[in-house]
Amino acid sequence: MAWLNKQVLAFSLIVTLAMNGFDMLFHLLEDTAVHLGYVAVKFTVIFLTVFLIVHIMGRGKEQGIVTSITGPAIFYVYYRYASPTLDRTLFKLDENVTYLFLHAAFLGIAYYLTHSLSQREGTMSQPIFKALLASLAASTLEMGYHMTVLTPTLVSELKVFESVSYIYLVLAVTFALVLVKEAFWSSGWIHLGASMLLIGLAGGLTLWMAGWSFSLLDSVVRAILLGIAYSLTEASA
Amino acid sequence: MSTKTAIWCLVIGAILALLFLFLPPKLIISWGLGIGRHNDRVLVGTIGLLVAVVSAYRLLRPTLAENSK
Repeated sequence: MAWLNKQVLAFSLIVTLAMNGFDMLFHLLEDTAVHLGYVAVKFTVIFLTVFLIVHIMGRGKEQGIVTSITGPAIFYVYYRYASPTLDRTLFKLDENVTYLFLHAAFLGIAYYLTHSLSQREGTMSQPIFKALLASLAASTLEMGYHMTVLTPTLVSELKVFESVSYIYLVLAVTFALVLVKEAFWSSGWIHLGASMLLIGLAGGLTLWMAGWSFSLLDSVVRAILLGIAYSLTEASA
Repeated sequence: MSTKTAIWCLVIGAILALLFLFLPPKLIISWGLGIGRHNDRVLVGTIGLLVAVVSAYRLLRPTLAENSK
């Protein structure tokens, strides 16, 4: 399919994953409920906004600003018209209008980081941007895995976080691994698949050794998620 | 995306948004358009709105879209 450009797809995915990573971490820090239904809709709307604008209008400063405003605004429209999926007397949710600006800021930062990654080849900031995006994407995938598989369910489709301190470890481990990879193997002799495998395995092993994996299968899943986050970051540049 | 396609997308997206997002749920069901649950219909309307907004952006800034090719 000629219209489905791989780089556009990777760019849209990494911007969406990084934005959701920022957003979920912020909500967890301020004790707002993060649940699967809400995150899934936000992911879908933000991904479609980034993808359609990049695919039709291209990438750039103006497109980035339009994306940052359109995505959260349309998500807010959904939120106002949809029926609540969580009991608001029990859970604190981000339904306040000020979160619209916060979502726009997170999306703007994620878009800027991803766009800069492809524009500033060879500069000092590139490995840091790459590490930051990969770690945010890894933490989003990790939280998605947590919500769909690990968290005990409240009601069939409403899964809410309880303890997430290990997410910071996922962030730190991915950030450090990508930075180390960029510092020692930036010349390109190491193949993308090999670095993806190395980062995934090292990350999965670290989490297992730190006691945050429930089983061997759990470590393998985490290694795959870290590898996916890294390869998406590489593909978007 | 050509101008003609953008106009079609704008019209179809706006109709979907108007139907599934802004009309009362009881009216939609009485017209026989009550597909899925309420939130599913709202999501369809939201995607329609998104398509309409992006198409409008394409129509407002045709040179930007041409330069991106």
